[in-house]
Amino acid sequence: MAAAAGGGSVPVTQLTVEQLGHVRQTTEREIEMLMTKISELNVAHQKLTASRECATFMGESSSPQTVLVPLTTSIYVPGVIQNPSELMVDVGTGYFISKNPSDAASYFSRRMAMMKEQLDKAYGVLNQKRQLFEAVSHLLQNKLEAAQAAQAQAGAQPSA
Amino acid sequence: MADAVVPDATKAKLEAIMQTMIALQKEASKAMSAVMGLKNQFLENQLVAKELDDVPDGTFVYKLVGPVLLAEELEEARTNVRTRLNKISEQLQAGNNRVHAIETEMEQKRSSLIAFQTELQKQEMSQMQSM
Repeated sequence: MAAAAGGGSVPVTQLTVEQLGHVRQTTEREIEMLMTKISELNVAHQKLTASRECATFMGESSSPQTVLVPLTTSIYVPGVIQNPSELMVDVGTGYFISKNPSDAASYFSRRMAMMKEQLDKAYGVLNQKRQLFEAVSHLLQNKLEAAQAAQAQAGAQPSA
Repeated sequence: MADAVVPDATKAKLEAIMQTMIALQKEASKAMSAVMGLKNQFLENQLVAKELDDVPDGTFVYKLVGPVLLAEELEEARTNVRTRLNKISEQLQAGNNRVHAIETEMEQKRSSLIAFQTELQKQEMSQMQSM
């Protein structure tokens, strides 16, 4: 299916109406999947940005900081950050690494760059798929119109 | 229109082939999603392994176990993630093999189905001719 959508060996112009419809459908589904992936990546990117900003902020304040610690979403207790220069960074699969704020910020920057790379790739593929979708839709429309015209002509001829 | 001509036994046989094909299809998609999950796990663990490698010796590392963070030696954490990566890649290999096996089986079933159908058509033709 994916190979057909990619148009590897058979030129798109030689496909039948059914095949075109099929390609159109798979491409549409692929576009939807890509859009979901892109929005997920964007959310992840935003979270990383927030974390990086927080790390940078912590780096700017070396003295103990007072904060409100949430016990639940509606109960808070005052707390003091004794050592704002040591942050625990969640690096995935349950591992936390202690980092100073600038290292933490650069870690988040690196992760953001990776996200950006993936996003760019996804956008590239999305554009390709959109173009394919447009082309196939256009072709399908043309073929259907041609078939209709031929039918109308064939219907008109006996009476003429 | 062919339904009227085809005897019940042949119909049952066709049905059986179709059923196995559908079952195989299901198995294939299950195996493929398992492989996808393993791939994601592999990538995540790879990132963690790189992070642990890049950190200077003596850095404090903690592992989340249930609700608590357990302190873990950096070296220990590195070897743990490495072993996990190896395990996952083994599973990934097995998963890929499984997908391939299912695909070849599906291919066999498909060609046997086509052979069966052409056989049926031949029989029909000869019946028509004898009538």
